Amino acid sequence: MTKSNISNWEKIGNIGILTLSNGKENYLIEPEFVKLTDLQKWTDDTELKGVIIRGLGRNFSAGASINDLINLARDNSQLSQKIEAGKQILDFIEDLNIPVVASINGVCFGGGLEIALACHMRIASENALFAFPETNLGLIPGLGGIYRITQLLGNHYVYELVLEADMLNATNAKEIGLIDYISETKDAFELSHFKIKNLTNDRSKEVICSAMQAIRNAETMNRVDALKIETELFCKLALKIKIHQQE
Amino acid sequence: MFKVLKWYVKKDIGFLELNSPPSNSMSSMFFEEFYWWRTEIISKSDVKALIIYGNGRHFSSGAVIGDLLGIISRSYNQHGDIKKVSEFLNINSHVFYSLKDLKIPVVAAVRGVCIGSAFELALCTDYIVCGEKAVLGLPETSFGLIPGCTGTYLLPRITRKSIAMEIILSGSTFSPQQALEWEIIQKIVPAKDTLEFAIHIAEKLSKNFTKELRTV
Repeated sequence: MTKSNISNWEKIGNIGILTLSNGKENYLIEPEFVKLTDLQKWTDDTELKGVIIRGLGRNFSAGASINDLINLARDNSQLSQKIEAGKQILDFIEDLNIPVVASINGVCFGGGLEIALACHMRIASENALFAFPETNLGLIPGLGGIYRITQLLGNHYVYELVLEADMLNATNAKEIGLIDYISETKDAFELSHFKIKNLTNDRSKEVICSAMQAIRNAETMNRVDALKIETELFCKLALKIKIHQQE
Repeated sequence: MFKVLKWYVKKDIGFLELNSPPSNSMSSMFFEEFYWWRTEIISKSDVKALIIYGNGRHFSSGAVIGDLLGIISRSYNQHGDIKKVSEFLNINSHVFYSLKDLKIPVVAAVRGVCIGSAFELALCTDYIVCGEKAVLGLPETSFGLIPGCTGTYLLPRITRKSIAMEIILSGSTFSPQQALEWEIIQKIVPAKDTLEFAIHIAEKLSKNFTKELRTV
């Protein structure tokens, strides 16, 4: 296991596990919950087929604590630099071309929820709770959470979640599509691991990366380009099969 | 006129039957005929709606992989350039997607198996009605490919990205009930009523349809 800021990294088979680890609530201290360079190094691994992000113990993460924020806010330029760095980490996670699953127990608030939203799939235990409490402190979510939740759910729920800081339990979150699965066991990790293996077992790294890249392109590219690349990726994979068959 | 398609007009509705039973698989000939049908036939037909369905118990089992692999490797041997190869194949995606350029509603009536490229074709329509026992899915990744005919683009835009990822990477088939919950299809009816319901909904949609209603 290796450590970077408040995150631990380990591998189980082909799956990387990133664990947020800071006290009971896994407060983020600062937006850089992991160093980008470390995350880049860990995920630059030809064997790696998927990543699970989880919190150590009973909670995913309660986000930034008010004291941490006050400390960070003392220096304005430092604060915006730190937030920018946090955004880059979340963009990097969302852009990874292997599946990233957030495995969520207990509280998943603020910056914690923003991390979960950057993942490709969210699996929570029955006791999970979700909220953006930022407006209670006179702030708004700062790491791209508003954008990502609007992309995911449309405008419909954003006002309640962001402006009224409504809290959702796992059942509510599943109903509106904020999470994908509720785990029957107390710890969501078991189901998360099962699901990610189901998506990656018996799939070559190239197939996984091609599929993930094409799906990502659907969000970031215009139709003509996205369809062009889809066909190119398809042809590349098809040639491999043909060569393989001839051998 | 056609060998693996059947095209006819009844009461101002155009019917395109995928017609190479039992599985109505999509051979190279299918893609040629479909291209011709889309570019030459439809524009000359005065119909108020379109229904696509399969002959017999199934919609279609999707592209004939052997045909595709053959075309791709021959073309690659000839040009030695993957971009040239995929330029040609990309036409299929655009022809499928071009159903969305039509000014009339397009309904897919899906009974039995509808997987791979056949499911991608259904995703390009405006309304999917499934018979109860229909089998849906994109199995491409289970044999070393990805969906190559609009699926990776359309699915994450129709439903959530996480669901698209699961359908595409798991390669598992799923039921119409599941598809309805995921908001990928619009309606489930008893299998024997599928085409009849498709006609009903085509009539209804055609009354006030404008192509601006299409959001994906």
